[in-house]
Amino acid sequence: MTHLTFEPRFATANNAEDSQSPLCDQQFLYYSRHLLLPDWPEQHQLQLRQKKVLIVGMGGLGCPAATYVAGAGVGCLLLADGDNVELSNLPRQTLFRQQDLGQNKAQAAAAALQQLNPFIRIEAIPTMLDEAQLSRHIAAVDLIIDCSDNMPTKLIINRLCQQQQRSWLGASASGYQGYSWLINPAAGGCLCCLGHQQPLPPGGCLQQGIYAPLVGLLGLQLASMALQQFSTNAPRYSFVQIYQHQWQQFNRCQLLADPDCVICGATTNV
Amino acid sequence: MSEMIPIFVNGEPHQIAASTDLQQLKQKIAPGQQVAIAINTEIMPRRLWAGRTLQPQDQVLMFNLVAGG
Repeated sequence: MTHLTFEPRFATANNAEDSQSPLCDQQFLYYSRHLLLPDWPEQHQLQLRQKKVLIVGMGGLGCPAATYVAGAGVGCLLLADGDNVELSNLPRQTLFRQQDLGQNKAQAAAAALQQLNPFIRIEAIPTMLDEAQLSRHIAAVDLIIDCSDNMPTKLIINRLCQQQQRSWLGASASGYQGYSWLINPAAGGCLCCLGHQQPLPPGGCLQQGIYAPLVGLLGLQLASMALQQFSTNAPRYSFVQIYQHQWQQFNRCQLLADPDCVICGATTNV
Repeated sequence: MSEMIPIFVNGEPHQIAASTDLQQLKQKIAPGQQVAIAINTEIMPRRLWAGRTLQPQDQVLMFNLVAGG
């Protein structure tokens, strides 16, 4: 096993010097298993270092998503969550330990992830973002990953991303039900095309429980989808992946634009 | 008696009358519920439900996006 001693100067992603410099030896070693992939040259790694990703929600979805996005070397992560770590979070919110109980999730996650990858920049936003803050952050990042646990936040992100014509990823889970999605406004279709813009019946982890491995699966999907968005073969259409527990599988379905959709119906290109 | 055709709804086999459309299927399977419907590999906009006649072996998914994470 190789043990590395990291120097603080590596934790400076996205500054001008870093954007021009090649990978150092330690970074080559850190990212070596990806760099061995046939379609993952150093140039791709350098491009990832220039990317900025906003993850909204650092719970069961956000922890695994952020872990693999950070590990892959996305250069700057913004982690937003206003909640604190609770005992009932530990079975599935894998970045947290007992000593994190009571700590803000975004800050605790940022600290854990910085230990995981000292070569990237991680910023914690320890509050629930309001609409104006979300809008500003969405405009400033390359990709948005919605890992929030409530429908109002998802619908706000959906609307803001539609307004700003920004692709975004998201997921939700409750009980044994789980969904992940890619919404690409340029291709048409949005979350409201599913017809759920009306208030939903009470749901979520507090009411219905949550099958812990499911949020792990969804979070890893989001991480992989995010990395694919930064490659050349990313899907350009909007889709939803629907988990079917009895078969332990996901069905990917293209999200067709609803011409009557109040959010995207007037602006879609398809 | 009208002809029956086999379809799958959320993975389970169903026999429905030929010429049944998605709107009618939704009323039969999930009356009064707010659902989205995917057929084969496409999520159908609500306004198209009434015009989409089901075919033998169609795979239908009815789901309700949950909130949680």
